[in-house]
Amino acid sequence: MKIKSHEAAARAFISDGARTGWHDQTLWLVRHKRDDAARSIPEWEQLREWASGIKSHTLSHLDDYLRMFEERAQAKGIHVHWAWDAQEHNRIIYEIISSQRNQRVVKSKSMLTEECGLNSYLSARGIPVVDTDLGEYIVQLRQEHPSHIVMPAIHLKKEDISDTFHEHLGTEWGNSDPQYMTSSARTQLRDHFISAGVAITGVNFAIAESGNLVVCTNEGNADMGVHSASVHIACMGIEKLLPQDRHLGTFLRLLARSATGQAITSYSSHYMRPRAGQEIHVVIVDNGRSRQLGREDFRGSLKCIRCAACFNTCPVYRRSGGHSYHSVIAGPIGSILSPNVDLRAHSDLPFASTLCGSCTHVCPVKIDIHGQLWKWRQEITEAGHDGRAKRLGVGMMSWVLSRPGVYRVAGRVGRWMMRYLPWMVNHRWNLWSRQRELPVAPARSFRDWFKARRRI
Amino acid sequence: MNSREKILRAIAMNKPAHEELSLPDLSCTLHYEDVCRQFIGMMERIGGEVVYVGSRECLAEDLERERASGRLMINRLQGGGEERSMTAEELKGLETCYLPGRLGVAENGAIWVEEEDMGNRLLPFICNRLILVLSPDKIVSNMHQAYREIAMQDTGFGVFIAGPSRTADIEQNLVIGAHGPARMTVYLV
Repeated sequence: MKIKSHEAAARAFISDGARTGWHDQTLWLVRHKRDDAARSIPEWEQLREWASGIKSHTLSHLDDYLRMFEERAQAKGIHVHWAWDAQEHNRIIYEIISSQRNQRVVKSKSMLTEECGLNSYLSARGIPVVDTDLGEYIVQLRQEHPSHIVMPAIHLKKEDISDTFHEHLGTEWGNSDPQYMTSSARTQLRDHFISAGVAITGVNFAIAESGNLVVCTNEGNADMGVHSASVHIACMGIEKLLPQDRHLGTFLRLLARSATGQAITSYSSHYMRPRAGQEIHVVIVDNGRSRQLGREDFRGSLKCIRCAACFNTCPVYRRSGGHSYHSVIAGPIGSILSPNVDLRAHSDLPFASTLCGSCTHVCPVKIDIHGQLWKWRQEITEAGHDGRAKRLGVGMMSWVLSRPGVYRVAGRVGRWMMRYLPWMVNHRWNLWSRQRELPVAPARSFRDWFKARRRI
Repeated sequence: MNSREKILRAIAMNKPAHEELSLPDLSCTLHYEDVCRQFIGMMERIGGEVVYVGSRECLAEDLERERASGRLMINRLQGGGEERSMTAEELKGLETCYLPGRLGVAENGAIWVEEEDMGNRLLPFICNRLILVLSPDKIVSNMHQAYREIAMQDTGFGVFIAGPSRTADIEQNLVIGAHGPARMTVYLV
């Protein structure tokens, strides 16, 4: 299947103006909540600096810290697995589940398992997975993917969800009261939790010195699954490490404030040792991350803690929706992570940005997001993935602009055409004027005006 | 070469040069004059309730009232009972659960709860109403201080709990009581 370009998918999203406006405003409100939360901490900028520094240090010793994590976790009875790629990650998890008598699986939010396509891998082998985060549960019922890494169903209106719940859960037709719908989902999911044999979670932070795993949720769904089931499988990218437990202080202060404007999530769970009779498995996944670590310009993206502050502030994301980014992680951070995985397939994403820099300013770990977007553009152009139309257009422009005589003639012709034959430039083949109005052309150029002034 | 070796080797080849680890300077972090007041304010903002309980006797009366209501309740304030080995199935009707909290954090209203005090790790999540009992002199200003106080090596599971379970996944409408407790109360004793 051919992937729809960001431009084509965004065009479909913005065809409903009212909905686009609602999406934009909703996310902008979350950005405001983030601002209020950040302002309540006088040392906020210092905190970002510390977080960025701790992450940079960790990346510079990542292999040592991973070894330390493995050793400490194993000493406490946690099983540690290593997966080079998505396929191996899925196979490891499938093997763990296959050896269980109770193979009912509940999963809390994990973008890594989305990245690896775990749900479809397992269900193809007869193991259905129930996503338990409410937003993920909704998109799973609709056979969609999350459009936002913190608010997976933010692209949907409550009426859409009401229809979905009516169809799948038998809720009252037309009842779109959030309280009612949440409580219906709660009842359904409780049964899944109680009967689950395996609970899969992501990992927000893994601690090298202690082998501890930290998972943050508001709903309590990770814990409902983990403490009900006899097997806990935690999936983490290699970059999730922090050196010491006490570094969590800095990161937990930043995470929820940056994500939703909350001071902290309702639950910040620290899994340290299996309970009696429980197995804990950690799957450490590379899947291209060590390659990104080797790219000097882009390694900073591995500091990301997946708060999505850059999504909520991005003027392009807010108006084009997460599904227009044909990548697991949408938004500005997704657009610098995805080209590492497949440069050609994701070559349009670094261009889905105004380079306004707002993402960089809100990033809690100080990733230079818009700088990296700009650098990817250069690599993509260098590799020839920038598209023929653009290449031709830019080539022509540079030919004209580097010849003053040609430039002056072209300017005169252009101004005349815009004044007397506007349809010659304002037609449907001109990509630039599709969503823009051409300005009224002045009678003479700046150069002519300047020359005339000098004569006076 | 197995994947472990492959990953570690790739990282060793690709990692940047050594970056110094500088620890946060705690002297310039946010401190509150009146941690208790800040804690209570935060707790109310995140949908929790705070009740000052004058004495241990008042607490005993409250427990007695709850017991008399006939709903399933578990009290872990004086150590454990049979709930230790109860399954999710057996606990699903749990109405109220009393747990001791170890430490409160004023900046965000979070309370640290450890496995030894829960007995069963499911308790604070599966009950409908969670009551955490905390001593007001166990409240610190911020998370950095909290992590200095917590002895993580001594326990198998610990959690910061800040308010009831919540979600805003439907059009950003806040709904209290997503999967876990719909009510959370802090007794300051």
